Amino acid sequence: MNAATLEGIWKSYDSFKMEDVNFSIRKGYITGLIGPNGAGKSTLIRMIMQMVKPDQGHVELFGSKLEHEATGMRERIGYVSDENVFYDHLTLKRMTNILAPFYRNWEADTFRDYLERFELPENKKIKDLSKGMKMKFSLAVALSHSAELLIMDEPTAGLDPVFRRELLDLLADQLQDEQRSILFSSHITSDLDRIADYIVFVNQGKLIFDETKDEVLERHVLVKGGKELLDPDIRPLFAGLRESGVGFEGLMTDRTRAERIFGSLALIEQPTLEEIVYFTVKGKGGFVRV
Amino acid sequence: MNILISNSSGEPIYAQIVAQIRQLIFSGELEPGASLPSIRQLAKDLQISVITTKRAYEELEREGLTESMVGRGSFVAGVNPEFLRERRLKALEQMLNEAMIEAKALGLSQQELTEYLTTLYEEENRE
Amino acid sequence: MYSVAHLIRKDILLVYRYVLIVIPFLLYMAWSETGTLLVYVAFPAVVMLVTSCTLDMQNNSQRFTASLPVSRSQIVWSKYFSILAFTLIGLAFAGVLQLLSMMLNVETVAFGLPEVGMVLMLNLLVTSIFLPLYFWLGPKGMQIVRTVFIMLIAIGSAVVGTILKDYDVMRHGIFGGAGSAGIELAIVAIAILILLCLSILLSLKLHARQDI
Repeated sequence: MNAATLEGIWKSYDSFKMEDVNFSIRKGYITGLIGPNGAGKSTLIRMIMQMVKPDQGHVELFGSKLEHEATGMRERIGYVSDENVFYDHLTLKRMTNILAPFYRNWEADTFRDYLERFELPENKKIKDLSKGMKMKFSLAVALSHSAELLIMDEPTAGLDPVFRRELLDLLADQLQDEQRSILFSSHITSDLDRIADYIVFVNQGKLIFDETKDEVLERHVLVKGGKELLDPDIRPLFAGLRESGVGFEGLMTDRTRAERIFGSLALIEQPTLEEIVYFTVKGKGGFVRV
Repeated sequence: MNILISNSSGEPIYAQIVAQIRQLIFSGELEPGASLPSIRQLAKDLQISVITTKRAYEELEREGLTESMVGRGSFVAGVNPEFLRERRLKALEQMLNEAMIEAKALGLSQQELTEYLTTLYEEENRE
Repeated sequence: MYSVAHLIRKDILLVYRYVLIVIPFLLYMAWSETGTLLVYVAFPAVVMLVTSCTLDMQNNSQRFTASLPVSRSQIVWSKYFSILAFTLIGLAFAGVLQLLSMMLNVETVAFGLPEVGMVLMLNLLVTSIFLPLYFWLGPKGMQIVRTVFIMLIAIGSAVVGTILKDYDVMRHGIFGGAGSAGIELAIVAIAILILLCLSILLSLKLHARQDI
């Protein structure tokens, strides 16, 4: 079962186009939505939140297709935006006072616990908080109305490394009962990738893959070798290639094929997720657009 | 029970889990009937993905080392560790047999093959 | 319906601090007899509405509202209802002021039902024009719309206020003699109500398909 499914999503803006994107958020698991800035991650997330309407295609939430606006669905989703969306001039206390009544399942005690755990000063104004603090507040809200799906847009930006690690435990706690699902997006590979079960990779408005992280890592290889190996038949086999004065590094998406072709002629290594993203975005020449 | 995951070993994480739990069972530290942590708890403790952990548990079950019961998690199988060791020795014998056949095909003598194995051992130890 | 009430509550909680700043100004206006009810009720109510809309625009807070379990149409309705709420708050304030003046024997501009009706009509008129623009232009054009509106309402209410005070239009009408005021007012009221309905329909349509 899926917490959310996006099917055949198309959307065009003045300078950006999303073409036929399909992916799912599996129930009970953590999905990482990765890709460079401007790849369309936030737009996809806002489509799940019903803030943005796709030109074509549809979104399914908790098993039902969204035809008309389904406000009840938002009760079941905890949303952490990539930017602060709360009213700057209010204190945390007042902001909470405004938003809590909207949720039928608001858990005041849980929320209080998170405030303490995250060391959030209730009487401070939102504009006086650091980026990380604002994110923590947003997370506390998202976790305090028994949402079944937690969606976090670039949550690690602005968080210190210590809290990022704590976040891993916190999210793992959420997953213990197998009923909740998590989606996070990031443009840099982050600590969150460690616990991600599925990776959805988008680039320039297109889906590159939606697979388990283990599959992704197993199937990709990083080939390193001398430039004399790069003949015109070999070149197209790489998803991304970096050439230098002393050789090349290239990403291939099919491990067995790579081993068959290069055998012992080149070094075949296990790439990290970061390398997979880097080489795929880079392609076969030029610079990485960030 | 201790499980230590290395991020720099190059060995897949699930394989590291399988190897370490297997070792714990063989050494008797985990006795038959002992329960393993739940998949999601272990994933949390190791800060790794649930799917990776699940895969390790499935592998252990396939090897006959553990059993799982719906709603109750995984247990070390009730079989005698000696028996399991016996089974793995059998598998090893098979692999050695294959190596022997291949060595013959390549025209290696028994001594040459033994030396080859000794060299491999030495290299491994040096690492 | 509860959601709409919560949304109105949100808007009131958002702007009440700003109102505290306006109060001294209003007290001065009321007791210096330069202002009329229109100034100290209509003006703040519209300012409150515009301010709440502006605050929604700042820091992507429109996205906060959109992430709540409320529908787009509830958001639109809440904005139209909140002008009523703000006007009521303004009238209550004016009432308190009136009582206070009577007790203290200070001379102020007295007001009755016709004035209250005028204030309400004026606020609905301004809202009918303002909200579709707000839902249409979004954060980009908001700054301009806001400035123009505050200016318009300030000038407008002062002018209308002066006319009412000097010519006693409430009793005699603008054009005709005695008795025609009622008919004129009724026509204006109906026109404003029709405008309001069109405005609501337009806002609902605009906001329903807007990407936030």
